Amino acid sequence: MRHGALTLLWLALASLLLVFPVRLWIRAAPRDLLARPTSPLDQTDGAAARQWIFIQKARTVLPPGATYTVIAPTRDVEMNLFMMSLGLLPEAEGLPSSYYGVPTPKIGSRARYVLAYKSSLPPGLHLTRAVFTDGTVSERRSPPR
Amino acid sequence: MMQAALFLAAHLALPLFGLPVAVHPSLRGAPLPARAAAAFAAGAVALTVEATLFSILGIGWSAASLASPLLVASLGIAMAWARRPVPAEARAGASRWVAAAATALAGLAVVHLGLSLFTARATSTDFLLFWGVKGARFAAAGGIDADLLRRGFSHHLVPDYPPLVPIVFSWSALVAGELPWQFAPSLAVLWLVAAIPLVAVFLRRRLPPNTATAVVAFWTVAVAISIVHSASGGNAEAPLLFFETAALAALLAERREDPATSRFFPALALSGAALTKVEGSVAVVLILAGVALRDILERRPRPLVRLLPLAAAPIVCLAVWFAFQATHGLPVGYRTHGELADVHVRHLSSVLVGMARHLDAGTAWFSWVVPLALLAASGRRSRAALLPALSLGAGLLLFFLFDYLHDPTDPSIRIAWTLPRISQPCLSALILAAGLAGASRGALSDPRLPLSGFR
Repeated sequence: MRHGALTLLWLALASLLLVFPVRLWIRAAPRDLLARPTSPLDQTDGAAARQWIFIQKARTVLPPGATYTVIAPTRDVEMNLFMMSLGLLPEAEGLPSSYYGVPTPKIGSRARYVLAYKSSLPPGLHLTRAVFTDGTVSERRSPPR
Repeated sequence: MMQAALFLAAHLALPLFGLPVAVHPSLRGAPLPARAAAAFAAGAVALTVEATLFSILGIGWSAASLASPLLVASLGIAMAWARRPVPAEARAGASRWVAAAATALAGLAVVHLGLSLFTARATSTDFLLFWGVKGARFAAAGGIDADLLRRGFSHHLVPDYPPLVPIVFSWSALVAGELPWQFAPSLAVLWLVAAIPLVAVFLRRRLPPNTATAVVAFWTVAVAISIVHSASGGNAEAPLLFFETAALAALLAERREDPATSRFFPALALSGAALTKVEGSVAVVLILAGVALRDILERRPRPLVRLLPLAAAPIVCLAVWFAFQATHGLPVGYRTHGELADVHVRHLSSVLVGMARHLDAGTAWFSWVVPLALLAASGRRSRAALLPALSLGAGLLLFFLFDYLHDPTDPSIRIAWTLPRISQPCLSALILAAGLAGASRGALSDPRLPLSGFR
């Protein structure tokens, strides 16, 4: 094939490829098209996006150097929250209540603060420090063991 | 907003740390964007090596402590190298309409990628789970945080992964004051934009300018769509793709009579690949194997001796990382994925089906089919010249197949999760191979094209 024809072919094929993103953008609802995201995962993983926002809010409550644990309705969500929290709370110390699905209550119970995502804590044992849409941040009344 | 601007500025300052590459005789004749992109690559590698050495020696990181030695060294070496004479060269560009069409197509693809990243349509979850986490924690700790990596509950941080991406994030976070979690993934677009002029300049050594420009347009569109489709914003895929593609393009373009210094940039890019991801080292081995085989088949002079600097540079860089592991009580090297011979062949069919399904690259397989068809249509012409690309493309896919077969349970979910992003260097290599396969027989076997050569 001559180079002129090859050039045209590559350009034409590149144009055809662009059909795929155009379809994507047309499918996006116009109001969402260039909406400012509230989390890095807004359009890729809605559930994880909500978890990230919860931890992001919790960081405003935790004092530097605090120990914390995370609890959630499922072990998968708990793990996800714990992993994200290590980055969002670099000056605090995360102590997991479970790790990759394996309960680690002895470690989690050493934490001063409890980040409860869509979960409730036993009343009386904690002081609620902040309430957010998807959860609470509480401080244990008794010193951590 | 200011934090994001500073984070971006820190990324854009990386070429200052790699200035010598921009004036190295092997690249000085190249257009400014290509030289800036090469300096960007060199800056990221130099920063990674320096920051790792600092952590080995117990020197704390700050924006000033990291930047000062690099700037002094970079300027000093650049001034020395700039005095070296470089032969004048003829440079021919693409015709106006081809350049305009290619720029429009590539521009649209870059806009698609940039907007997708900026509107959180292409963020990698791994950015929030470990790539960004390491970046933020290393910046807060003022060094590679060995305590964090050693902890029992840091398994998910894959402590053995090489450090380039976390270190680039940390450097930028130190400049910005904090890691801007919303904005940082958007900078994946920088790695794609940096690759474009490098791919273009190397392809033009082997192809007429118009054809090279058109191939670059296709490459840019295919890769940009794939990065969005595989949600690779903020993870290590875009940097890895950049380093592997730049090294590969340089090695595919090199001429039989090129001096040994022509392997300076590919050696550096291969070092970047090795420092970015574990499979970067696999890619280095595959590219080197392809280069050695090509050189032997084409009867190029001293093929194995000329391979040494290409291998030595990534080995030295990895040795620095492994030295950090050794001096900080971490397991040295990379952890294996099961026993080597523990292959679960019963999953072969589901792995093959899963791999085929998830190689669609966001274009219903079109991005793969086009270069495969063009490669097939080119027949057996000058196939040896393409061996570095074919070795990387096919070799990596076989490596992934072998890796998936080590899963004791059906790895279909892991394939869906990982293959769209980790297969991108294979797609890139295939497009480069197909582009070069369209070169005339003379162009590939006797590569003295009267075009835009530079040494």
